[in-house]
Amino acid sequence: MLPPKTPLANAYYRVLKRLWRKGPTSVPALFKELDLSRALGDRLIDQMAQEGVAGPDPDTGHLRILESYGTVLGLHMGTRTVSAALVSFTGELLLTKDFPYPEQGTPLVQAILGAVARMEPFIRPPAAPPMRGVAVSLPGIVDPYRLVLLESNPLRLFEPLPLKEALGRPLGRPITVENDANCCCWGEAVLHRKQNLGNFLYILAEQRPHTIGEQKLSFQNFAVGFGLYLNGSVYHGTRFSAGEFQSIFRSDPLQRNQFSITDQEMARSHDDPKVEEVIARELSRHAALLVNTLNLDRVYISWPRPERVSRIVEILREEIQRNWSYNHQVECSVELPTMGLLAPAYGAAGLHLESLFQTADGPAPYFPGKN
Amino acid sequence: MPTPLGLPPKTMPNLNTFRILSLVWKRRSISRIEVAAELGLTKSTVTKITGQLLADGLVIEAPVTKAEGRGRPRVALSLNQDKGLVLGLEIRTDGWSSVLIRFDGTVVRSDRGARTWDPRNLAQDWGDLLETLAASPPGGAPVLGVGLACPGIVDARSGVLIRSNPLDLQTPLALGLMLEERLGLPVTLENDANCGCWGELAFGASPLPGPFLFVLCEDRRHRTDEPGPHRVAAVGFGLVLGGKPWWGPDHSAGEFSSVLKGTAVDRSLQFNLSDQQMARVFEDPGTQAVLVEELGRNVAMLVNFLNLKAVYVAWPPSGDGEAVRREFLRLISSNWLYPTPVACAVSAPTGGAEAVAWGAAGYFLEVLWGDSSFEEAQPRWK
Repeated sequence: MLPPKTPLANAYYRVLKRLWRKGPTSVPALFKELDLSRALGDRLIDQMAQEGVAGPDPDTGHLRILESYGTVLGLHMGTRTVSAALVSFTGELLLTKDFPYPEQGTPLVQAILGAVARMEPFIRPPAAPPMRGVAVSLPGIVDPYRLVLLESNPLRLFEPLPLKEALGRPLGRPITVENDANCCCWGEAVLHRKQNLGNFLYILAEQRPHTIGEQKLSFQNFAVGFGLYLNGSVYHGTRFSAGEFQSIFRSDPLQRNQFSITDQEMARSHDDPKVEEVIARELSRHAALLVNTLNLDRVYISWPRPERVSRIVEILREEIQRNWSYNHQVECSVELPTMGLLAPAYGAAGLHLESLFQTADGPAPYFPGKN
Repeated sequence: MPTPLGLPPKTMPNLNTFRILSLVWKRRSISRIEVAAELGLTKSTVTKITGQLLADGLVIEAPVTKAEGRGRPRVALSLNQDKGLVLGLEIRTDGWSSVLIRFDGTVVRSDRGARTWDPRNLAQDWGDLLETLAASPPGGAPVLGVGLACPGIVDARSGVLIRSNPLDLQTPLALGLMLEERLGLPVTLENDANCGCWGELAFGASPLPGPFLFVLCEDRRHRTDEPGPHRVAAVGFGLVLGGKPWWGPDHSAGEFSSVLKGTAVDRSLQFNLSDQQMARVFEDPGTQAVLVEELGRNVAMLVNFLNLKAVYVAWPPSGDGEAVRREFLRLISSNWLYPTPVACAVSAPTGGAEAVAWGAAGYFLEVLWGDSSFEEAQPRWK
């Protein structure tokens, strides 16, 4: 177990953060970069070696974080499926699994505990290093500091659901929770942590089954959430609801989808490229406003139908330029998520690791019985 | 360009001096003990620095404050408001507004005028105007510097106007330096809507409401040199995130074009209204209502997406600003997905009709002695 984050342990975490962010380095270079005395530095390295979290690379002798130290399990709780990603302490994706969400009506906490239990057989040592944390990606408004799901339309939760003790006690492992689109931002930030990604928008578009009770209409709904990454961190807003989206073209409050089209039209979106194009165009116009008003460097777009994604990217690029008032080209790249559909689960684990190694304020994993 | 008021450079050995000045400026009146507690400085450091500031006449001991409970009453420190004035100037395509303010934001004189600008001659024209406005300040207090606000993409750190459609400028112009040389005074240059934000940050509500949006809507000539009285509703946004205006890496944050703008060739630059509709937008209530709804929907999207706490809407005096703000509130609520109501206030700018010029002067003061940890507000003056 890593030491608690006391001021005395600050140097310990500075070393880990350096290794996490920039990769292996020689010990003298490390001491120089972090301005550590040799006595303190040697003590920290001994402590890390004893705990098994960092050690020398057998080929180069450079100090590095050891993959064998442990893993973090990232879970994305969709409305009908659960995605799991096992990620090493060096940020490598080790294993993925998808399985159906438990029976409708299963409480969320039970569903998460069930998902962890379902993954346990695959991730026990020696098959994998010990699991040292569980990170959960959720659709809805999440307070990642207090680990509370505040509200969630997709999960039909309209009262705050505290998850700290509810998950921490039974799992006995450090816990992180975060909104799904925000997890996607964290994932890209972790995967590209050696470079500066700048400020970016992440568009998480998913197709989720949706049923409207009275009309008995079941359809694949395009559900969209945004994540915004500014100045090296996810932007949460004052009440953690930043990124929630509803189209400003929408005028009929009786329609249940986020766009201007009717639910009947939305029901056809899976099979009708024209409807899908209307959705993509509408979504892209909103993204364009955000890109230009916030002067963003890049946009990641995750689209549920891979065969359509190149057309969607084209639309997004067109709309970003069309929304710009000046003659010159907007300098904003449009990219596909590095982890594809695994992005929320991977990103949850990425946030867990990022916050574990950070020294500044930010969302931090909950250690049962410790904080 | 020398630093105004004989202030030392904002570098390492002097940082505590600026931290103290900034705190005294923001709090208006504060005791030495409160300064020490708030900045984590020893009492002797605070006494030494404030002693020098008192000797220089920058800070005065204000009337004795009532101490709560027992003990000696505390002496409060304030900035010496007689030490100088700051000139704030807002440039529009067809006119200008200016204010002369004290350090606490009190306006001692405001002026405005109508005129257009030759994009090839901006430094000359603005220099002439500033020279006139700074020439005879009331009460004899000197003008210490100029905060200038203009439409377009501005690199405020270096004082460069990068581009401006309204001013028909497509190549960068280092106006900050040019005007400093002309006037012999320090000059800051910032985008007009961002100056609206600076006004709220410098002189508005305390504590700040949290992240906010400043919507600057002006009834003005479309481009400064365009023939005829072609008027438009021109909108710019200023966004305050994390306690300061968000500039973006290219300084173009806040540039606005409506999500609802269609693809027809006759659409105006920023809205889905045609050029013809736009020409009479502030004369025809029906067209103005269409504009308000379109802008309000865009604002609602930003408020909910960014989870903002406040919106300040500066609306032309010819329109009904109160009705506009009510409509924005309604649209913000209707764009929200959840049962919990949106907690966002919509109000008029604290600086009223002169909010932009006022904020330009506020930005000058932020640069002059603002929080030294705010690296974006480092002065160029040494």
